[in-house]
Amino acid sequence: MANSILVLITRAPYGLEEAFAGLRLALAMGVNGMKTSVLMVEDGVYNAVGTQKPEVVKMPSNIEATKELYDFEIPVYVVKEDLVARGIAESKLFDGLKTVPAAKAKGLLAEHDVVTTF
Amino acid sequence: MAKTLTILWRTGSMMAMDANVAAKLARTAAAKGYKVHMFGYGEGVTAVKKGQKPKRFPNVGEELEEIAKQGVTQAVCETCFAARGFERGEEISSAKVGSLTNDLFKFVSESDRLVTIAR
Repeated sequence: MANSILVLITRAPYGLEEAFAGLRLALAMGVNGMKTSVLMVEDGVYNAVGTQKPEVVKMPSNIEATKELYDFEIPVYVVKEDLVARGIAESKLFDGLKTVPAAKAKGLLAEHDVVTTF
Repeated sequence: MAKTLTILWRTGSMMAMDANVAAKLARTAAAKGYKVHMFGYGEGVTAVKKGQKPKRFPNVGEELEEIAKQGVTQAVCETCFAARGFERGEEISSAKVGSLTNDLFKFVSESDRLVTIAR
């Protein structure tokens, strides 16, 4: 019986459906009361950039999809080292995200009953 | 008490063997006594389209219908299904056109393990 789920977002937004799909899956789990967390890792950290303009490519906003999770107290973590590796300053991220070192991210994996990757 | 496995697959029925691998994993797990749920998300929903006739590849729709006889439950995301122009009634008999909120949540809640098959 799984009581908690961690959703890993590993892909950048818009070129692929993956990140958006993962955020919607997290919402569906959280809406039902399951303990749910999201971790943006590797190229997934591009979803954390606050200056995204999805309307340019006529795509739904991954920022809005992320912020909808906040209504259900679903924490969204972003791996610091992956931001640094891509030259993304923390000041560029939109509000409500929690940056964590990679060591903490490993702990998140252990804290959840099941994990899925997008 | 039998353990429960959910397989979440997100790759389409052609171009890759992922859906076939998901079906094979489900078959093996069910044979070993697992209760198995399968959920198709994103491109994964194409695997349950009725009437597929691949010339050179295994017919994953037929494989899914076959493993349903072992008790493997199957559902796919309705939003993803509709987005690809499929309508209710176009799915194979063993699969339910369902939702993340109802079906996948129920599957995951019941499960000891969640396996994701995607690219």
